Amino acid sequence: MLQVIIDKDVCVACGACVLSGPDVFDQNEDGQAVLVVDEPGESLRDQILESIEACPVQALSLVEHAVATAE
Amino acid sequence: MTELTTARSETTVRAFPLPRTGCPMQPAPDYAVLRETEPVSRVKLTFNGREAWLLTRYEDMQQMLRDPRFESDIADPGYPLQFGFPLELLEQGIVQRTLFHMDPPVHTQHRMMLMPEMTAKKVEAMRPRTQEIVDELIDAMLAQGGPVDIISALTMPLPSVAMTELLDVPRDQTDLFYRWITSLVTQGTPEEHAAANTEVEILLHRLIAERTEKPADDLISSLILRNQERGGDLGPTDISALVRTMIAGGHESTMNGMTMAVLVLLSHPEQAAILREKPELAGQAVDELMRFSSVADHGTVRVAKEDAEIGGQLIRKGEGVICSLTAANHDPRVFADPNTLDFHRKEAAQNIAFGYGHHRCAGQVLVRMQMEVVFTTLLRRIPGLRLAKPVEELPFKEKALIDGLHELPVTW
Repeated sequence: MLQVIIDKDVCVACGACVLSGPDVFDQNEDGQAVLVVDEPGESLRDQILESIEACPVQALSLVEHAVATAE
Repeated sequence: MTELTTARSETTVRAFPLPRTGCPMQPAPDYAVLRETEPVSRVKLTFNGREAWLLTRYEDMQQMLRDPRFESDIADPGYPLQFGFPLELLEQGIVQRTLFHMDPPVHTQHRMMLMPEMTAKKVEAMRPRTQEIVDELIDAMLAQGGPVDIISALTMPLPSVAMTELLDVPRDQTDLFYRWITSLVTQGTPEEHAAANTEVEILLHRLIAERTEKPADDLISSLILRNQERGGDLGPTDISALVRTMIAGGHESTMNGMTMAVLVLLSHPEQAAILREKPELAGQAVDELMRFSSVADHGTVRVAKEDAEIGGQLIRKGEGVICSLTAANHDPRVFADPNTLDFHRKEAAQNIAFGYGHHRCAGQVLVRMQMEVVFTTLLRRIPGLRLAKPVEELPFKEKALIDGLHELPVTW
């Protein structure tokens, strides 16, 4: 499972992420980036990485969930 | 080249824009040299003799354009002004700043008033009408028969018609918009600019007043309503400035960008064949054409409001910085084999032809959609489309803020 963080204070609503990652990102009514699904699956990794690169204000980041290990 | 390699001291100041020798579709050759030998270099603007720093590396531009110490204050004496902007009229309050010359937090407040109109969803809803306009213009081209100048037939009218429909102003106002924007970015005198500016302001203020009374289904009405919803902080002059931002961005740069992209497309028949075969590659093709041609090469400039270091170079408070977006979009650190056009290029979406940072083109989604429709429709409807003159005989604009052509004759 992948977790994507969107920094709303930074997002300038340019829409670049929606063009690069249409299955991951959408825009709210203000134009700012929102997620289509809360926790995108592994198959969307490429779209996420491309959107992160395409974002002109570095508002997006990908957090890898650490595999839970019982100790 | 010789001059560059022999005189490589930090104090070398080169005349800017750099000479564009060789293929007019390729970047000025010195960009590639500077990028490797002196990525942050000194230049002197031929326009007004002001000196500035020139950035030629993608990464340095990313860093600078996100750094709040660099601002877009066009009135600062260190700002690398490259066209006859009427600063005295700005000081007198006769001309207002557009988004291009605002900085946060004011820039953010004004920009975010406009951005809800430019979402991917809203732009997608404009696609069918865009297709109709493009089809009508191509019908007229076909009826006329080749050769035709594709600028007057297609790449100039399309963005204008789309803009007049978006703003719901009569099509004949397009001339006024053009007069205003060309007086600003080309050789207009401050007086000519002031006259055109006043005409545009009168028109826009009238529309804003009318639509404040009676909002309709157009972009100006949407701005008025959104401003009211958000507390009404913006006055009619601010809303007018937002609309002028759109008009400024939506004419000259869109037209030149589309025209140069058509030229590049027709000069690469093997890539054109790929797109004709697979129209679903249109988005990627547009990214790559934008990257390759980067018509707004050196319009992205800032001035340092504090000392700051970029690419290992100290930039002092009050010094100007110019980004060569063309140089960034041909930086081999990001784009392998950068001078080759490749519609399958994975990293094409990372191009910064639309700018970088919080000033990223507000209309990029719209322009991209328009370009997708133009290129795929041209290739589908006129399979034999080709240049009517060799590239070396084409009239390229010289000393323009935005690269382009005066005329692009095509035939089929």
